Amino acid sequence: MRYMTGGWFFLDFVAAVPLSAIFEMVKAIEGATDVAEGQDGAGGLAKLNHIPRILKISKLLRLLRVVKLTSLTRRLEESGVLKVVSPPVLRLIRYPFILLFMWHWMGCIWLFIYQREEADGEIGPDNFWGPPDYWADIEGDDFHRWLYAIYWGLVASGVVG
Amino acid sequence: MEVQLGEQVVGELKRMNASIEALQHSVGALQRSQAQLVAKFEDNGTQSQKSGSADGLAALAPSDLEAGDELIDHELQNQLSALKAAQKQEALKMLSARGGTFCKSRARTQACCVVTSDDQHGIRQRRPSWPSVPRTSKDPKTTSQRAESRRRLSVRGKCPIFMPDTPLMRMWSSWLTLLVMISCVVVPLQLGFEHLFEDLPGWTTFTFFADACFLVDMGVNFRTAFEKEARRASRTYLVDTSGVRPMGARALTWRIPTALRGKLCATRRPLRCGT
Repeated sequence: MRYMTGGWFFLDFVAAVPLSAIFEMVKAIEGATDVAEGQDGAGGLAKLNHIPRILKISKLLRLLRVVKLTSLTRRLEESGVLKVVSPPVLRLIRYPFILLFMWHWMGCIWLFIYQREEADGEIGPDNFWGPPDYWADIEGDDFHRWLYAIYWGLVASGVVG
Repeated sequence: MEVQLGEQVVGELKRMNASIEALQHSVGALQRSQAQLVAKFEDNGTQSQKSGSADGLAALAPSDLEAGDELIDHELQNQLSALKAAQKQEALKMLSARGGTFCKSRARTQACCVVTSDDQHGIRQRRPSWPSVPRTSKDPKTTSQRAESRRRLSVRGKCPIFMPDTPLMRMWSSWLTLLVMISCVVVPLQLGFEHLFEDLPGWTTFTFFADACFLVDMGVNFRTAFEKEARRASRTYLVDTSGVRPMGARALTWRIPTALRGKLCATRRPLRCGT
């Protein structure tokens, strides 16, 4: 009861919903319906066209699991598993990781939004909030794109970009 | 009342007798070691007189003096351990008289743990043991330890209660922490670099498995004990092991604060022992 009334149950439930299974199921249903209607997937069932995109965005709900990380680390500290590392050292390691994770999230989400807009044809000369011109040179290199995304996150979070 | 007083007097007498015997034993040992030293001193003196030296003590080797000190230390240690054993026996007797059990399953901690027989109220009383030290191979489980382990796992009903400081729960927490870290890295990557994960072998299986682990953890959280009320001054705290709201007449006492409920429901005050 304490688990439910404390609010953790709701967070855990939202974060633990098997979105992958739902996503696969929706894709299978959509494909089966298109085949049954004799279409190649471009048209029919227009209502379902946006569902995969919504589900992709809803994958972000899994990031709520990071809230669980605080309770888990506290549980590990209490049980003595993390006792081998002194608390100041643990804090020293923790904060850079938090920053790195934050930049990683911001960069990847920025990239995701840019790709969606690019696919919709909304990126143009008037809307140049995306990557710079030399982005085309590193188009195939995912590692460099990821590094640039992290750099963007760093600059955006530092309010210098 | 008289019988109890008589038992107390007999107990005191027995304890005094044991102490006297221990002291006699140590005094005897000290006398023996002293006699050995004197004999050695005399031997050395005789030898030094024969060789022309007047001072027998100077002729005594430093190693002999150290040996004498070691003997005395050894006897004192023996005496101390005997007294400790007597105290432990006495504590065990008092515990058994009050209906408690001496629990060695938590022997990996420095302090011992006392579990009272008040589980009919859904309350367990024990020492705080976090953080604990892992059990070593030199510490085999006894019957009482196994019984305590079973008791810790299943306190009430068929569904087990998980204690947060058990090795299984520690492993489970570590595993979940690892999964959360992986999720934190991978979920944004899945959004930004979708094409990387489309043909990754086994990725879907791993995702399903991680989701299943988090769903199982939700169930585990319902059955995990938690710290109900801490009383740091007495180094004792109550753990509500029921995990769920009680039913029936027991539910009437649920609204009463835990500390007060423990005092009302317990027939005897739980006994603490150990350091």
